[in-house]
Amino acid sequence: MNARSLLRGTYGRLVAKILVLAFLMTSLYNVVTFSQSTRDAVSQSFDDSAKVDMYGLTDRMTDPTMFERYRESVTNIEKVTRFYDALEQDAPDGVQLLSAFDQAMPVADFAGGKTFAYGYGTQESVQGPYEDPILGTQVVDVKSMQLSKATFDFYNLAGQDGVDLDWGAVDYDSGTIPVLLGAGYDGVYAVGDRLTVDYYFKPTQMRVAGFLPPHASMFYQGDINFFLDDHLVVPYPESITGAPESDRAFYGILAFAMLNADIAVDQDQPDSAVFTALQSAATTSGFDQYALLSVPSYLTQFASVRALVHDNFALVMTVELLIAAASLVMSAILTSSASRRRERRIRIAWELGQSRSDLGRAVLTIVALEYVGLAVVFLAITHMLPNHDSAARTLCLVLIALLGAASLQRRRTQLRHTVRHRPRNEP
Amino acid sequence: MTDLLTLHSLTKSVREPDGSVRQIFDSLDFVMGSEERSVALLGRSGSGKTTLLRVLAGLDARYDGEYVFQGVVLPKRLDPLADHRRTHIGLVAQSYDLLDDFTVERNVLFGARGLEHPERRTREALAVVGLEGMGKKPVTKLSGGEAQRVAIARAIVKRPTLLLADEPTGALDEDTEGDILALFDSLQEAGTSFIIATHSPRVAAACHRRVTVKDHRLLELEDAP
Repeated sequence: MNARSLLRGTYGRLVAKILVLAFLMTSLYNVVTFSQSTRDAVSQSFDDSAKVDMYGLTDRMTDPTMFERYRESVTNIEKVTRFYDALEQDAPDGVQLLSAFDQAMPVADFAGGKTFAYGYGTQESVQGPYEDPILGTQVVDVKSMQLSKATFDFYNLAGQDGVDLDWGAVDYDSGTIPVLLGAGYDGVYAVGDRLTVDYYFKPTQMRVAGFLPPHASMFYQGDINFFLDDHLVVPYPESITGAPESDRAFYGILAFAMLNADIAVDQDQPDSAVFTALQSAATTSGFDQYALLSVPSYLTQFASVRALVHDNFALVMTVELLIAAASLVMSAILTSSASRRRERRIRIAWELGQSRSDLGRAVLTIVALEYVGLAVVFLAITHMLPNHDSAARTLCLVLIALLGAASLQRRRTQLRHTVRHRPRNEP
Repeated sequence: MTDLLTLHSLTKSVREPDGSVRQIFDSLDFVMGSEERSVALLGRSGSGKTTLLRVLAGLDARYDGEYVFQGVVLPKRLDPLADHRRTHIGLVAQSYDLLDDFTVERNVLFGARGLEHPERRTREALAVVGLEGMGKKPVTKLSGGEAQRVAIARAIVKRPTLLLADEPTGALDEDTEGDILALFDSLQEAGTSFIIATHSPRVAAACHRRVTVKDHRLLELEDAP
């Protein structure tokens, strides 16, 4: 007897079982990826350090002409840089400036796909490739996040595999800035690669220092999980006070860009703490063209989103358990039904003189067919899903292998039983 | 001339579900000569007829004593016994043991695996049992007698030396039983030996020799019961 003879009449049950188990594995895969992203989100954005009131800060230069004119004055730029430094470095304990800005970066001869392009996945149009007058070559505007060390640390961002950003090496005057790339860039650029960027109209080299882990995210402009997978993460310098005269235009824009920030205030601070800090910085610097945006209740968002995540997690786990139970019951019924039929064939083949090794091979072939088929279907389904998590996929494949091994062991036991025992009520 | 088979001091006991040990055979001896064509194996239900057939078929190797087939002592290991069964033994059960979703032909072919010219042998076996032209018929459409003929065809397709039949006519009416006995006669004339476990006096009478399992041994019966 070969596997085909054993399978005859049970192909439907075999396919049904594969589909049921593939459904189970896919839902398990989704739960694992969901719980992973939940853990990441909680650890990155919702940990204890995030129990703060968050205020939005920006400048009041809404009129481009006014903005342009203001930046032309060295004195004004110095006011802005002093204001930034005062908030960044001299703010009282419990008040922290978190500077971050998602200005697109025109990158020359960009090697990545369109998913990295600024505007991709949004209603904005994708810019590039186009001829950049500063670099004199084709560029693509790519997604980028420029941020300060305080912001980087606040959101627990870190490089992959222990390769982190050396903030001490961030020297804008050197013309080369170390940057981190989002996990989506893995395979596009490698550590050590250099990107030529038009950074606020200044040709700048950016050296890839490392990659962020998958699903790295931060709070940005009300988005509780602003993912950085497709972003070029550019560190701000520690201070821009005393910028060289020759780069006045660049530092003028940069100073205003760095003012795009949130101010995190510990909850144990009085409500007036942020106003006091701003007033103090304004007095010190002489810059008062700032605006404190509506005070988003970050903590409320934090609490509600966290509750939502946890509630959903509990719901998903409950649904998953129900799916698992139903799938296992269905699988057991299908297996039992097919096994009964096959067991009878095995017994008859054995009585006709077929060897146990031949029968064992047929059983092995069927188990291999079932579980390799299951793995293939599972991989095909997860390939089509939007969420990709290689760890979760590997976990499910290991589980499939274990299920296959257990199934093989059980069927070998059944085979031994079949050849040793006479079934009841049968001669 | 070497005997077809010999059992020396066959002793076997089984453990019942309640843990007690039940003796099935105790120093049972049996000889079947190479010229003997049919032996009826009689005895009360539960006396051990089927167990003895399973030992003779090499399906049960857990016994004490010795089983010699055509002068060769058979090992008490299932794999070599499967080889022995494939080469020498045909089995026919009361419940036919056919594969329901196979046709007549495929059921018989199932018994011809590993043989040369399996299709030709299958056609010949079906002709011997009188089922020519019915090869493509699903076995679920067969009468009891026809199904038993398919089971016999499957057993004889490999041309076994010995055919072991367990209540082969137990589920058949008298006329059909007569047909099956006639078929057995013709097969015996062609050289196949039979051991038939039966409760049927008619089947027993049709055999050349009758033995009964009694007190864990085999006793010869002189006359038909």
